[in-house]
Amino acid sequence: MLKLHVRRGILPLYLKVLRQETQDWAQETINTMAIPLTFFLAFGLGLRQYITDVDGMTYMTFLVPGLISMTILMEAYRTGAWGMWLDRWHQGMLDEYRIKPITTSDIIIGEILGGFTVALIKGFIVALILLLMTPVDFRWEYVAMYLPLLFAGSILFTCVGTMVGTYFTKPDQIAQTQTIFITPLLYLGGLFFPIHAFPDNVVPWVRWLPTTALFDGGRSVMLHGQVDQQYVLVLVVTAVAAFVGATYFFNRKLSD
Amino acid sequence: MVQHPAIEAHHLTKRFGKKGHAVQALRGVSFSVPRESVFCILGPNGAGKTTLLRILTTVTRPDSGSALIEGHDIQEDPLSVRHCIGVVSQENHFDRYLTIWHNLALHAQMHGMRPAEYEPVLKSLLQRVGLYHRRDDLTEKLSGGMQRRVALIRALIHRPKVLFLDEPTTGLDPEARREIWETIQEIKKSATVVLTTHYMEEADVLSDQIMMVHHGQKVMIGTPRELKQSVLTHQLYEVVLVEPQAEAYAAELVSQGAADLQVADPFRLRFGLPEVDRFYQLLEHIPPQLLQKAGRVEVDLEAVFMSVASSGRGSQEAGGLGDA
Repeated sequence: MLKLHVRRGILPLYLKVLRQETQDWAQETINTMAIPLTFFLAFGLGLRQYITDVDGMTYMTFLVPGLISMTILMEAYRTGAWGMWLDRWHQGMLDEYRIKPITTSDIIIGEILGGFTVALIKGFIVALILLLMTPVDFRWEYVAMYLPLLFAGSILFTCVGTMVGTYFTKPDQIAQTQTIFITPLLYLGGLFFPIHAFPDNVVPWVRWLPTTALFDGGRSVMLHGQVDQQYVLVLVVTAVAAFVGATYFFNRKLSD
Repeated sequence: MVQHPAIEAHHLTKRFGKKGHAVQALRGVSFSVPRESVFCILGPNGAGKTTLLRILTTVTRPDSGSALIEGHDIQEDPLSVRHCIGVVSQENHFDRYLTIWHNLALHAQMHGMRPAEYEPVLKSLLQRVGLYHRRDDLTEKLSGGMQRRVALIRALIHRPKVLFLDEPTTGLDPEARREIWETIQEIKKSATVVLTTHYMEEADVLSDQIMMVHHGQKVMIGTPRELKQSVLTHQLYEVVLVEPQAEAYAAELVSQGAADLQVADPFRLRFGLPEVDRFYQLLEHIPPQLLQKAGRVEVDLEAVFMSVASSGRGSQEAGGLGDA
């Protein structure tokens, strides 16, 4: 049975992740901004005269929701994977936590929630800056509808990251996993072009990717207020499965 | 009222690895530790000391056997065990992205302490070791000795009943080592201390009881004095040569009646003899020009350990303090 200790287990570890990430907040913000801002400047500004209309909107407008989702996804993965790797393999902190009166489930849930929150905060910072730079006429009620998708995506990729950080012992293995799995998911999920640009027989498959649910689904919600039920289903199911999987995997690995 | 021991361990075994490549780290180790005493687990690297400590601190599960810490079963009720123990592991594990204060506060919170409870304790402990003014530094800025002191504070924040120290002074300079020793003596007044070490002097100075382990087995247990006496059926003698030929004369001396002979290094031989006359007879078998020094030496724990290790003897109790 899952034994949880919120006050002495989950909460201190959750706050620890936030404290680690805000230790040097200026540097962290610059790091977070670097990739989405580069994409925004290169594609949104650089190509704006060549790609003038994508599904009835400017390319810059098309790009922004996806860049916000991408930031959250990548930060969730990064915080989950590197945080767990540091704690388990590099700093040996997991051994310190395991001699405290808390359970391994407390540890993994604290770490996941911490990673999830960090990713969301960074996503909001990026959103704020990109939206200020883009003449997007977004509506707050649509943004509110977009948030649950981001929550689910953030949980999903934090959990995937924690599993990677729990399993792999070397830092280059984490980087390789990102290159082999996360990067293709980013590019296939409709971040830079609409998914209907894929051949017709590929589109149904691409629609089952969680990144498509985040990028394409997120864009529909944020700009038009349209919720695609399949995308919601994909994100909720994969987020729940990843959470259960990460908790089980972590407990199992630590009992080895 | 009968006071239970702080620790009772029964036939603990642990094996690592898979069939064919398995290493038997512990082979049925049993012992008990009285409250408010210092219990030392002594043995060479790879003897099983750290595995034993990891089992007692609930990090690793034993393959068989059981142990009670302050009456709590390590396997049935690990959280209660963790409530009453503090641990200083062999390496200084700190979160290097947190300050000293936040590192310590995190661990206090994990023991369920509120800021009003742990802040005065932390302040007082940090002041005692002269690190309060550095509380906002990252731990990586501290020297090894200072990090060790912070690790000790971390293990003491919640006032544990049993404190486990895994090679607490390894890598420290003599001054830092003395400071840790003094702290351990202080802690002993209110808690039970279990420490592992491969420093014989440390075990001798600090311990009320010593358990020697070798190849995962308990080979001896008792007070330092009892351990020394237990191997002393003979007086201990030492011969130092001017050339590295100790090995060459070892067999000769054994054939002449030297007991528990050890080649401490290529120049040095140590052995036991029942009487001093035999010693002089024995010296006649070594050319005088080869002798640098020869005479009786005081028995220390190193001699006891070498004697036990070289004889390969199994579990025994020096003073009737063994298996509970």
